[in-house]
Amino acid sequence: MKMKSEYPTLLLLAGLALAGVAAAAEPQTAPAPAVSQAIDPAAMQALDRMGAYLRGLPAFSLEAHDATDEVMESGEKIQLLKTVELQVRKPDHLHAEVITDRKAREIFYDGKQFTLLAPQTGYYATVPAPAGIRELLTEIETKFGIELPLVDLFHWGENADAAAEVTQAAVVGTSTIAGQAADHYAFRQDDIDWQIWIAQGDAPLPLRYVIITKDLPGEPQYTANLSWNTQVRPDDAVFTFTPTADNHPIAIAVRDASQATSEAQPQ
Amino acid sequence: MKRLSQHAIALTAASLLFATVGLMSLDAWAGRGGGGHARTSVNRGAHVNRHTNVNRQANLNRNTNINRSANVNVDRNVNRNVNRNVDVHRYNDIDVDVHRRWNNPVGTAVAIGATAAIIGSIVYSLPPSCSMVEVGGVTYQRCGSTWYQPRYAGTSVQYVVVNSPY
Repeated sequence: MKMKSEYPTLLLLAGLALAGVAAAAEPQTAPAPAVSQAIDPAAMQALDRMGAYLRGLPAFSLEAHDATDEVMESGEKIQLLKTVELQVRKPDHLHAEVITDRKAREIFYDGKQFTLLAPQTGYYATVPAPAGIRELLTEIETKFGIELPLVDLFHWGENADAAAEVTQAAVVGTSTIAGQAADHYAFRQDDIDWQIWIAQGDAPLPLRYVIITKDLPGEPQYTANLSWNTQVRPDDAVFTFTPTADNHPIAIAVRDASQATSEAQPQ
Repeated sequence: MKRLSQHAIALTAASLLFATVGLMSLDAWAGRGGGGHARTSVNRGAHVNRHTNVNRQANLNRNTNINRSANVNVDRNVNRNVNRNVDVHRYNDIDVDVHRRWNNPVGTAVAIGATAAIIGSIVYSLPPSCSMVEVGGVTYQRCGSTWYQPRYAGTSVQYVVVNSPY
């Protein structure tokens, strides 16, 4: 809460400074904008509550359908779809099946090793992995350029700084997502506007979210719809990749430009 | 559609031109992208510092940096480079952008002819009639007299032309 209250104050000061410049020619008459009122505490609390609930889940599985706008040079927007099935056991087990219109991949993570599998060709790369899902997400993104879909699910409730980026927050109203009653919230940040529909009741899960990228031409949009199962307790076997005769080990290129030619060799 | 196909042909031609010197394979659809794609997460990840905005401005100039990995906006700029075919030395960036994403708009990848494949060059699809061979725990694709070693770049499989393992 301390961060939240300081941030609007800073904005207010910045705004006043700008206003001072603008008012050089004529006396300032307009009142300072009421920035702090743009954040509805109820919306921020709902986000906190959802984050705490997600953080407290020992395990879950979900199926998500998402759509990502791709902006063409002409300005035309093309929507690309994918389906993601996640199985998670905190803190260090994750299995993901990602099917896009272009490719299918599976990810295995058992707390020790990370495997990326292409089921159609049987190609797989297995590399040592850090302990912890969040550490894994950072590593595969930084090192290999792989962004796990739905990473927000592992950041909400964990990243204390995230709330400070919100410049406006509003309660939109109630809605129904796939038959489930949900509360609809809208947030603004510097470069994105985003909305989230959080299930009503004792299990405040995100059922849908939308992100609009404001600092790109065409303001492309990302939409994800999620259906949850928080009762599952997946077995170890789900998370550990065991190659068969149809699988073929390959390397995975390390992304760092200074080591552009290096590879993580198959185990 | 007409415009698309013309564009595609032009890009295909350009791609093949580059491919002959072993630099890159471009894809018609990927080349047409260029306005970027939507950010897919609200949170930037714990490893990104709080001054991302400042760093992102720096990234627009295509400097190397750590934050790029978490930064969608950078990719947009890389795409522009692809479209303009400005700088062939940015191969790795093109690779990062066009081929690593989950759902990059790759239609039909440009097939690179099996002729004059230079060792170390990279393609995203193999010529016809290849056979998979595993030698010493390493997977190869043998296509005529040319050997390719598949590897992941992001979530995409690419093929590096290598010397025969025999």
